[in-house]
Amino acid sequence: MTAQAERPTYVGARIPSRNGARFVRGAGRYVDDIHLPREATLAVLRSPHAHARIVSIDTSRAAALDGVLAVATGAELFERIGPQSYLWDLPGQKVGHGRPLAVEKVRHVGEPVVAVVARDQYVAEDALELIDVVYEPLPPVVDFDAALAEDPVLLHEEWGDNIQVRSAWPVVIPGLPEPPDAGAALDGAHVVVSETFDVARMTATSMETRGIVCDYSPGGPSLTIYSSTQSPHQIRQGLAAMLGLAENQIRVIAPDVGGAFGMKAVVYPEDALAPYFALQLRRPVRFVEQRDESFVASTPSRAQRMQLELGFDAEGHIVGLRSRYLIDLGSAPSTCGAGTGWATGALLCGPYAVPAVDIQASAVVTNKSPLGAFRGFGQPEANFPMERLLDIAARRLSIDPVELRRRNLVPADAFPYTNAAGMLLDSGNYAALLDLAVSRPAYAEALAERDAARAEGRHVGLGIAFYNECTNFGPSGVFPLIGITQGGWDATTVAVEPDGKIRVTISQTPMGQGVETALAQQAADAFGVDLADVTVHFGDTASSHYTGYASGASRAAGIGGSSLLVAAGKAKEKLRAIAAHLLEANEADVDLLPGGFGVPNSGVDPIPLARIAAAAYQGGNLPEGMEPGLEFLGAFDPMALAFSYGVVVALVELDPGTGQVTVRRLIVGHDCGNQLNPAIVENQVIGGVVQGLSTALLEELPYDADGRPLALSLRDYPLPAPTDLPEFDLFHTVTPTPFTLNGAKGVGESGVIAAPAAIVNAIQDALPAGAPEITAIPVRPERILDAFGAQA
Amino acid sequence: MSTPTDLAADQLVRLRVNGEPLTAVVEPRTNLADVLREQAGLTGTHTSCHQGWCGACTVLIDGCSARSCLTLAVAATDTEVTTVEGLGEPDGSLTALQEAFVEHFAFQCGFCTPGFLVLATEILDEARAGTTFTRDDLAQRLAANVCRCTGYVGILNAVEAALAAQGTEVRS
Ligand code: FES
Ligand code: FES
Repeated sequence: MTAQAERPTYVGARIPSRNGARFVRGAGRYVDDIHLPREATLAVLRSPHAHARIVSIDTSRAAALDGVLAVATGAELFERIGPQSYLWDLPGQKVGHGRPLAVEKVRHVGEPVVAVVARDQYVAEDALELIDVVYEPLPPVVDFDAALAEDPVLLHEEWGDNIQVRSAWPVVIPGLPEPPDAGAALDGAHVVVSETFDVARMTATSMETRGIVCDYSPGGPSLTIYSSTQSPHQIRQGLAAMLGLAENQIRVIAPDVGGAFGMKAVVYPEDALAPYFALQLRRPVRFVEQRDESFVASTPSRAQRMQLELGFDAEGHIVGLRSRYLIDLGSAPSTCGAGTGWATGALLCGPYAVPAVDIQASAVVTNKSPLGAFRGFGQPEANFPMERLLDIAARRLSIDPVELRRRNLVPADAFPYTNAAGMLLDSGNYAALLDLAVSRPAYAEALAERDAARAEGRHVGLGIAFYNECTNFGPSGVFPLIGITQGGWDATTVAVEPDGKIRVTISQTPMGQGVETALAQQAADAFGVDLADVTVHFGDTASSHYTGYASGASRAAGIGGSSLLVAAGKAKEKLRAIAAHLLEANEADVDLLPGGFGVPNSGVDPIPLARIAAAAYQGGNLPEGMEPGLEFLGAFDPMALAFSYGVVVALVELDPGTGQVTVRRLIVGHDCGNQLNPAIVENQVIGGVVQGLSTALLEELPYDADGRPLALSLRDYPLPAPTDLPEFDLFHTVTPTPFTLNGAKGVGESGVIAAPAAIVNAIQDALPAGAPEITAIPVRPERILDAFGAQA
Repeated sequence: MSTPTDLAADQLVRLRVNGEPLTAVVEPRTNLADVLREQAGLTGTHTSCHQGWCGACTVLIDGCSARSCLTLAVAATDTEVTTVEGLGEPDGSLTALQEAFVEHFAFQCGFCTPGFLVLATEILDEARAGTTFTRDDLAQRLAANVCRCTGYVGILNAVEAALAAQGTEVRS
């Protein structure tokens, strides 16, 4: 296609968010802003016990309260609401009852036990206080040791143990050569390092909690559901199955979504209860999760313990990797199953050329709330052990940590590269990015700052971590092999309106990542129109085309964007044909030019889109046999994943008196292929890095010895504040992926993956020599004080 | 046994919101955020924690920032409340602060944005009245509210730019 010489292109420009004017006027529209006439409110009574048998439930006093419309227990609903299916159903994964309310026993504090529907939130909460449940407490299984003990207390008696699923790498594929033996490699290694690492349970804490407003149509069993979700089609699919409705009887609308981070990608119990009662009561029902509930009712993530072993030859090349790790899934696994744990193993080699692996994972159930997805999806859990152990190895080998990484990164000429765990890495120049990072002025400044501070006796340290991020998730053909029950493709509809303006309907869900802006830029460029002439619609199963996986796993730009290009390509073909017809020109000579479709250098003015569109919709003067209209659907299924990558350098200072860690500087180098909008990329990376900072230092959902959660408000769950910010130095390189049409890779999870390891490596560097290795995050002040104490 | 709803009779609340009178009949326990959102239909004020921790619900009460989730509606009687909807210029255009938020990518999902705008409006007012701010001061003040998406960099930059635009430069 001819370049649009006179028109500035939008892709690659820092175009401000399309939501700006709405959001700053307070005109955003989130689920809780939606009120319907005659609506009732759902509230849920939750278990106060980690593990207990339900002896009896008396709901009579609640049901009699003025303003209460319905009350139901799990036993009453068991046959009425079908089981929830898994979105990620790993081979061999065991299942729970899958019903929205507990039946017979509760398995975590916060598990829904009774549902109440009342006039409003105030009355519904009053009613909860009038319900009497008699429990017979059972011993809680609060950690790995208890879950895996000999003859353990069982959460799901029929399972026979507390392990939901096990996975292992390498995957032996019949007919293919045996994978190399990591055991032999480790036995023959020059140096072997090993440690056990812990990554705490943490939670997404989107500022908008989960919410659902369900409208009921008296004309038949049909529902319109407003949901704060990343995945409208998956919610529709899941609910239809649970409620026994056809998918076309349910319409799911995701209005503005106030943050999601993976936590809002799946069906939750209340998502089934609200529509169930809407149908029963024949009136709209709403549920808005309260903040205290969110700590036990929204899925947290991470929560892994990994024993990792790396063998090196004398030059510092990794010769083998062995890992045994556990993931704490909580009680009755969420629809995500053990997905995050699986991702950790599959992605453990990260950006490194590891010739042989032996990885075994066990997904364990305990009496905590069910685990789900959170930004990074298993990758920070893989990166932290690996990048910490590389630093530990660097000291043992007397090789500079930067140099050790450089020697082991997958070389630029090796792509596409299939690693020992079977992952295909698409493209990259890892070493170039690493070299760029250490040649930044900010790096020299950080080094000088560290050395000067040390000379003053202060405890300042520098740390580095490299990462890659699995994005553009993912090829549908591969999904069945890894237990994902959906397709991985995406679809976009492009319509040229009768007046020549462009209407795009995407299947991605905007939730702050800026996808509607970035894709508008791409559409404007594709048709050579002003950005203002493009509208983007989304978040409604009645208009957005079905998509296998919706928004998540950093796939909006690469896969969503490519499906838009497919649709735009079809549109342009038809526009060209109509233009050729109107110009009486040869179709092959017609091209998109500034001002419309025409024949280059013909002296004849091109035909504006508006005139072609008018002809297409009027219909009377079209090429022989052509259908009228200009609406096109494009679908794109990637051939392979695309790996973004980057490096984080952290400069930290420790206060030996208080144990406080201050992150002074963060240098972040990043490559996500072609950037549709660099400002959006920057915002995503910074937002993620700051979440990574708090992963390293602050965030944790602790439980006491009885399995009771110790964080039930934002007071108990520290989040990063503006006062925690370091000085940033952010830079990019651009290595397009060959596996999308726009060369874009994802960026959503990048920031959060390596920041924890870089910060903890810096902390270790700041600690006195001989201090114990820090192997667990978050690093709370007590840990720093201990480390100072231990070496003294 | 009495149930919690019999606690007290409904009460009349009379206040001004964004310059317009608002009257509502509420249970005494009803908070201002709910009255603004549900009775007045001003859904720009968001609630995220209902416990005073996040600042999403921040409004100005007689010019001072306050958490509307912790303010009982009856206690706001006879006050002048400003919500995010009341922030535009009289001609309907955006204020310099609002423009700066858009320009500096000070939001992603937008949920925390109303609270931050109201909080920053108070900072800008104070600066106009003579208070000076360093970047650290701004970080301290903005730490009253939580944003989970942006990492705060855009928000700080926007507030700094808006201060500069009104001629009350941030000290370094
Ligand atoms: S909702 Fe008021 S402070 Fe969080
Ligand atoms: S923009 Fe999402 S919470 Fe601030």
